[in-house]
Amino acid sequence: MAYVLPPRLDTAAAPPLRLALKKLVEQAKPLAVDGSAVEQIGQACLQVLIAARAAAIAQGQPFALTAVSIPFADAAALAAVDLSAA
Amino acid sequence: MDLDAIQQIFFQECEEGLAGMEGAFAALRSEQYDAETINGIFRAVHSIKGGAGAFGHERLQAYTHQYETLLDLLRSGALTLTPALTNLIVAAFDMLADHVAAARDSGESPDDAVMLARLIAAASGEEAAAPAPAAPAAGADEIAFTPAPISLGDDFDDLMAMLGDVAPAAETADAAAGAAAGPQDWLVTFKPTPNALDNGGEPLLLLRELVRMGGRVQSCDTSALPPLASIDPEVAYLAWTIAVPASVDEDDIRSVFEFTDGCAVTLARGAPAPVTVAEPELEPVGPTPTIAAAPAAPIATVAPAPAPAASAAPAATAPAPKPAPPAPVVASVVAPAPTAVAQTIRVDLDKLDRLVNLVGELVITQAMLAQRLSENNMAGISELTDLDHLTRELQESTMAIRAQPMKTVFSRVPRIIRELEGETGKRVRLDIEGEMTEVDKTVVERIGEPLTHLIRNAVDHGLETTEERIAAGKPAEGVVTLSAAHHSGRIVITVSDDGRGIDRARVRAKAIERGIILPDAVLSDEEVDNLIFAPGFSTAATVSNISGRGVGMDVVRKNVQALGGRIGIQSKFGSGSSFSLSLPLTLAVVDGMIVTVGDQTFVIPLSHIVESLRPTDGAVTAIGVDGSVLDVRGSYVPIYPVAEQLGLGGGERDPANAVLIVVEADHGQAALLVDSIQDQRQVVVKSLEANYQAINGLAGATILGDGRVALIIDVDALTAHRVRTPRPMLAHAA
Repeated sequence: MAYVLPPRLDTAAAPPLRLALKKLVEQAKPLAVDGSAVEQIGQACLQVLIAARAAAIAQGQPFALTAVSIPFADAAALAAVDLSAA
Repeated sequence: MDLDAIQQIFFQECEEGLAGMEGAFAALRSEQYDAETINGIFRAVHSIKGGAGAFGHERLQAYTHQYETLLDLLRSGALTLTPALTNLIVAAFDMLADHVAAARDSGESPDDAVMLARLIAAASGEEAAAPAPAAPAAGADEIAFTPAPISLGDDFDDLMAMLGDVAPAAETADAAAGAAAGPQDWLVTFKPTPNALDNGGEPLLLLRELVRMGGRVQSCDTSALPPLASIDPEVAYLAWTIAVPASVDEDDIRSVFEFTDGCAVTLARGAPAPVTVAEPELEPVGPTPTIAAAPAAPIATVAPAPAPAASAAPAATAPAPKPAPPAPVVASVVAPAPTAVAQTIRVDLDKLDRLVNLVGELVITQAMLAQRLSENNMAGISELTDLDHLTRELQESTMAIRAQPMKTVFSRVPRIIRELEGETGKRVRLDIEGEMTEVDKTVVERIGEPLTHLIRNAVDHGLETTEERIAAGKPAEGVVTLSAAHHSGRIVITVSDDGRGIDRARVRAKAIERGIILPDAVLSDEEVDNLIFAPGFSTAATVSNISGRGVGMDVVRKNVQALGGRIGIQSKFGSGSSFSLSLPLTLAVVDGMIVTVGDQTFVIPLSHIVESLRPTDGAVTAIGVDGSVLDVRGSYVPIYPVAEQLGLGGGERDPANAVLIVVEADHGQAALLVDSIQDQRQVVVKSLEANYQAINGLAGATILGDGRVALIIDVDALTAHRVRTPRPMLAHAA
């Protein structure tokens, strides 16, 4: 089941996002994240997502970004961050 | 693949191209466009023209030719875009859509003589501010290009567009051409201070500023990022390298960072790396390209939507002047590497439906297996849990294949609004939010009609005329907002306007006049608002041909209910109304609570359930003759015995011996009284309408693990009226 990212991912949303992703990563299962609802995302949450992806991969679990919204894709492209690459 | 199949693909691409154009028009209107916006429109039209020629749709080809001529002049800068021209382009687009539809359905092509004349006139500069070079009104069926100056990059572009697809290589050529020609670009490295995110600081905005100057973010350095377990989410860890064109003044670059205290910024002239155009294509996943320049425009490589312009996805890549150190697996990288492999495939819908059906059967078989195992005291085996997880995942993945962004529905709305503007003389601005929200295809397909009606209703009845708005001190232009969002497992689509709102006194008077309510009925504001959904209700003094096309709001509500949805109104007299549709994400599967009532088994959809309670002494208070309410932590919730509501013999009636399931329904919370709870699981919905007939109070049926049929309760319908005299209507059903 994909974890659906909330629409607003500003700095204030980063701590709860980190906790949620940390919990998911700790389950040591393939992690799927759905970014289709994201309307706004900043550096703080991008960092958390990069770290979550790294943590999942370090555990040998795939990290899949199943869908992204345009604002999300836009921000990721702007920051030259690729969360979708295997 | 035969010609018909290829032609089918062509029309699908037309649809995608048209949808992409519609998006670009929004940018043109809001004057937030750049050369790429116009290029995108041009390419879409150009692709359609190419296909039209190949498949012999002469009228379409002739029309697109003139359209393209005008667009080409715009994109080459020979013509300047004025509001009048924007309007013409948009109007021409509507006709283009008609042309495409006519070609697809072998219907009659629209009469485009006037539009063609306007396009030709505009191309010759008559409607534009800037004079154009003589754009020959070439023979309409001539495929040849107008002789506008085009660059090498464009040439590639056109070639690729003609082939129906723009490979990233074309863009690379573009970038390469630019890089080779220019002097040395600026190389900016930027590392925000750790506290850069405090007080709402957002370093990405600075990147955006540089991109606006023509910069390209080349790489993101994530080496300072701690592991997830120890990361402080409010500290900035990332750093970037950005290439900014040499033509940009150093002071301008520095001024971007003016108000960032102490962040590390270095500025240097970098040497443009030699570029060979073909390289990225030859080695799509080569070992070096940790760096790829991110384009200024949004990328859509992983976006769920078939990118309206697969052709426009700007995956510009240029080898970086200063390569980053080899990145760890985590990777400090980057925009999607150029890849020659297609990211999407087209699948016949029948195949998909077959897959969904099979998965449904698998879910049922899995439930049966679970039942059988539990009969042999083997319910706890871990393989069963694994199978359960796998089945669920398989089901969700299958559903995800069917998921489509609401954009496919929303992209038709601007045209509807334009037509309404023309018919009513009102000025309307359309705001769309959340168009990438995904929902099952069946919902996408069936939501169009009710949505169209709501939009028409909002413009026709909701918004005032321009004069009325000005008199009321509102902006002349009315605003209709269309939004979609996921909300606790459902999709909520909202159509709101800033118009006159519902005049409750008038609604009430009308309802009395029509005999819908009694003159002395005491109704809450909400109940009055809901009267407009009553059959045969119409408040417009004269039924216009816009929203009064034989479809009333009652039909809208019925359509929405048929989708398993609910419709709600919020309205404030004088400042607007908002209709919200709450729909299930999929119609094929529901999470349900399996309950027993008498000797029957029912399923209550989990999305409605708030909590389940066994009432303590004193929690239930009798009301009236045979009614009762449940005290849920201070608020009183009416109790509906399911057996009584459905007219079943048997079944518990006494709350003290039963389980009360508190549900959220149309009319607020209610407590369903059932004998006991058996289980909670996913059930595959089988339609009652298709297999038997619709029954009020029931949403469908499902097959349980033991092979028996269980009926799925329609919570809203079941709690709409309190049944006082048991009706023996279900005695033989199920």
